[in-house]
Amino acid sequence: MSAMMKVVGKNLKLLIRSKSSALVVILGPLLVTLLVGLAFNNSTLFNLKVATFSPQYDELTTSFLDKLQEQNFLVTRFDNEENCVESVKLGVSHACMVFPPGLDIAAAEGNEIAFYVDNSRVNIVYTIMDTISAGISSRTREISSGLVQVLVDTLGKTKENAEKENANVLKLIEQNEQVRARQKEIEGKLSSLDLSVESGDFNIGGLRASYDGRLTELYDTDSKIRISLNESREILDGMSDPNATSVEEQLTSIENELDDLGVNGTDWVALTALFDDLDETVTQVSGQLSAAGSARSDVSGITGAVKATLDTNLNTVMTVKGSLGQMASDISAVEITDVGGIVSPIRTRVEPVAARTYISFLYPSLVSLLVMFTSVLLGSTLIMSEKRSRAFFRNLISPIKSTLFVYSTYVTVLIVLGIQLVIVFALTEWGLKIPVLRNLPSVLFLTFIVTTVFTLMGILIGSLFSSEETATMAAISTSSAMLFLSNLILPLESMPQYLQQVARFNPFVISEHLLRQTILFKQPIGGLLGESYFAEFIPAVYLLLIYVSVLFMAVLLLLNVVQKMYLFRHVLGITKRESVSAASKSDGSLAELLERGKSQLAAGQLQEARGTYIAINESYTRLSQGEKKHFYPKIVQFHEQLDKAPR
Amino acid sequence: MCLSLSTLQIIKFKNLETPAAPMVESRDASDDLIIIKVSSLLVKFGGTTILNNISLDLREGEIFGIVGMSGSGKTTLLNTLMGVIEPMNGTVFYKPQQIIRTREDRTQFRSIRSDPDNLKRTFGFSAQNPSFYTKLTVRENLDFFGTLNGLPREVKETNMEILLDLVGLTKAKDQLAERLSGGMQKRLDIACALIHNPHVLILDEPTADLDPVLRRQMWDLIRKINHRGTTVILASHFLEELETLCNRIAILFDREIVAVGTPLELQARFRSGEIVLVQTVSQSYGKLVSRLKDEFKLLEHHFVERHGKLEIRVPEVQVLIEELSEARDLDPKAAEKLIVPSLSAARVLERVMRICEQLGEQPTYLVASKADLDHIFEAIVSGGKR
Repeated sequence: MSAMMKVVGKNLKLLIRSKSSALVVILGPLLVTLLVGLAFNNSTLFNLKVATFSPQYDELTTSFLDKLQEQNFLVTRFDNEENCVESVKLGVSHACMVFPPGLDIAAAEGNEIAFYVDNSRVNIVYTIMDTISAGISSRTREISSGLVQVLVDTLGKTKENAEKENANVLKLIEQNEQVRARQKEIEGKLSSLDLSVESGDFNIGGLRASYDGRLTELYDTDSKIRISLNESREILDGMSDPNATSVEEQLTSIENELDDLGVNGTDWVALTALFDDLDETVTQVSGQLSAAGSARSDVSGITGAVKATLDTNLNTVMTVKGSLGQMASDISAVEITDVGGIVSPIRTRVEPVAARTYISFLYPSLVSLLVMFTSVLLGSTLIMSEKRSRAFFRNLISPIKSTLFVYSTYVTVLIVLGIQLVIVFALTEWGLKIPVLRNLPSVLFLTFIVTTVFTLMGILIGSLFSSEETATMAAISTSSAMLFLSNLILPLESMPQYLQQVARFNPFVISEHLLRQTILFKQPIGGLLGESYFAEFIPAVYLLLIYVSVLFMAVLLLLNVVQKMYLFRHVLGITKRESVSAASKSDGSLAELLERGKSQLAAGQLQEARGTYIAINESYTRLSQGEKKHFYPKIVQFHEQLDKAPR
Repeated sequence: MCLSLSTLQIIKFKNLETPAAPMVESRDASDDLIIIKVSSLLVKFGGTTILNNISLDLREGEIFGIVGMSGSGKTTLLNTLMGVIEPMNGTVFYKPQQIIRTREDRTQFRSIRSDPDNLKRTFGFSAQNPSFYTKLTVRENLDFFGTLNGLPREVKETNMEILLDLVGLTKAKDQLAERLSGGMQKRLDIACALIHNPHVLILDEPTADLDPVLRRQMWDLIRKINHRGTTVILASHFLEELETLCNRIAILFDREIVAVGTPLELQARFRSGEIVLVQTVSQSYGKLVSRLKDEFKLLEHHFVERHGKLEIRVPEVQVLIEELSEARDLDPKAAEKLIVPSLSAARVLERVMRICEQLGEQPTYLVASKADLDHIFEAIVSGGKR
């Protein structure tokens, strides 16, 4: 147990004594943890970009966009659907909303908004859909609420009116009862009428006979009159009165009228009797009629009342009719009556831009991961193993350029990674049946650049550090930091804004993005070169090329410096030994030198002790006279010890 | 021993000649022979001076040794010659391979900064830690570095065959480098350094981790390489190795070249005299030392006990006189009157035998020899006390 603890203690000492090891071993994980904490210490998404396309941006459409902007979405309008969808594939937008033409709440059909999302980003796509859908649903709920409110208001008003007209209806019912009563009354009255009349009562035969009689009388009269008239005339004829003419005329006239009267008979006498009879009958009838008249009066009174009641009822009915009409009108005014349209006035449809399985979604990320870790670790390991190799010194003194090993390491990593990728691609294409080789030139081109970036990074790390464990720790820490600051674990959109800006320049993020373009979306090389992930100033591929240049320059600059330092410290050991010798010669106080010399002598390190004696000598010359007096006996004593020491 | 406050500093450089001139040569070498010229080299790293005012010339076909303590700058000097380390000041000129081979315009030197690739083709380097790919076979390593050196296929194949035979790895050519023994790995490293047939081979501590047997095998290999016409620059802190192999040796001390010459020249220059080595059964030498001090006027620093043996450094008389004068603070001229017996290793040896006999000590080892590089070096490091 104690031996084990001893070894553990020795290991810790070795780690700590190398400053770079201590730095990397202790600070590396802390830094990574700090980064992760900063990146993921929140639960929301930031800077979600939504592209939109609509044939017309009317009030309804704009209301949706405003709602999204209220929820901190960055909304970009596109002028055609293809560009909108393409922006999702390119990663410029997280989703594309396509509004249908003529979006109208009243329309039962065609109110469907299509969402195009990149479902290859499995760790964010559902969050994006949920978040955007929440925004859309919010607006839809507002619209739906509005529609329902209209219905509710209409119902309320209808109910109010119905309650109001109910009183009228009750009144109608009451009055209807009254009419019924009156009707009964009329019926009674009418039934009491005696309208039975016998024709015989009128004695018409008798009337006729009477008439004939009367007529004869009348005829007699007529004859008398005529006789009178003739007499008159005769009188007249005998007169010479001026008015005789006129009287003649009048007599004539009377004669005429008698003629007109046509009475020659005795009809008139009978007639008078008949008339008396008739008069009597009439009187009787008259009496009956009077009674009927009274009844009629009564009925008239009743019907008048009924009429009034009916009039009133009619008004009431009209009023009710009016109300009912208003209700109908109100109900007709409700535009949306379709239940589905009220509950979901606007529907959504999700369209994936890349319809694949989960493995194919993750595939670009997995390839990036493989390339990154292999390149960084292998690059640093190869450089470090070269440095630590016993042949390092001989390589240094061989007539070759110092960059030869950098290029060799690079080519070695390319070959190893190439073999790995061939196997991976072959397995994926023919084993997992994922078509990854359809866009092979682009994939190869991009993989080459990505490998270059990470290999140079690994070479730089291997050049910077002097021990294998430190270099390995640094390589792992660097790769882990890049991994955490990427989309692979949690989406970048869940990080704070400032970290997102940093993460966008993460080579792993760029690689993953570009590989997704080539593998999933089959972007050609030309498309990659023009790809505008960093639309503000530079395509992503050029950024990777910049990284290649910068890393290569850094490696070249560091190579000579680091190699020489490594050579001096670890291969030649010049600094340590010489600095010790120098220290033994001139460093430290005289007292320390004396102590050191004695210790060396006691340890049998005769030559070292002699070197220390030389340093003592040198230091002695710089002492003041008083100090010289003080140290002189001690130096002599050391001198004698040195002299007597066994060779 | 008498030390004063002001003389502490003097001790370090006592009797050492710090070359004011770039180098001191026992004979003048014409430019025809010189293939590398180093002048006033100053190398700093991180504000610390590693090499200061280094100047030397290397000749074609020689085995040139560089000796110094650990951390003295040997590796730095070698790497500076290779162009791996850039000096802050000074120049390093070399004759490119094609000029050496074709004998054209032999005065044409090039700076190591002007044409690094040519420099790397002219020089081969085998560092202290073998430098090759452990996961490649012997043959694959040679093939790889041959390709890096731009060798055509046929030339590369030919060189590989020759080198495998030269370093004795023909049978092991298909073995992984990591499975080779230490000595074989070192030979492979040398083979990799020679694959492009450089004219100068730099070896940094070639036998550092080898046992004595393998070390000697490596010496034989280095000789063979040199006999083929390759100039060898050899850095080591094994003095015996340098003495055995090298035509000339540069001593690197305190960031400077303090001496350059053949082993004999260095011995003569530092007047380190002769050595008598004695070992007795008891390995207790107090009384012997005391007697020798009295008889020969030797001082404390002339006696060194090492590995159970007593090493008696027999200085030249003049040197002894000067040392005695200083130690006793006497006038040098007056010191000439001191009776100092004639000294020679043989005489001391004889005396040692007698004293041992008198003391009842039984010697088991007695050798008299010239002072070797080890002693010269120690003399330099310890301040050259006399």
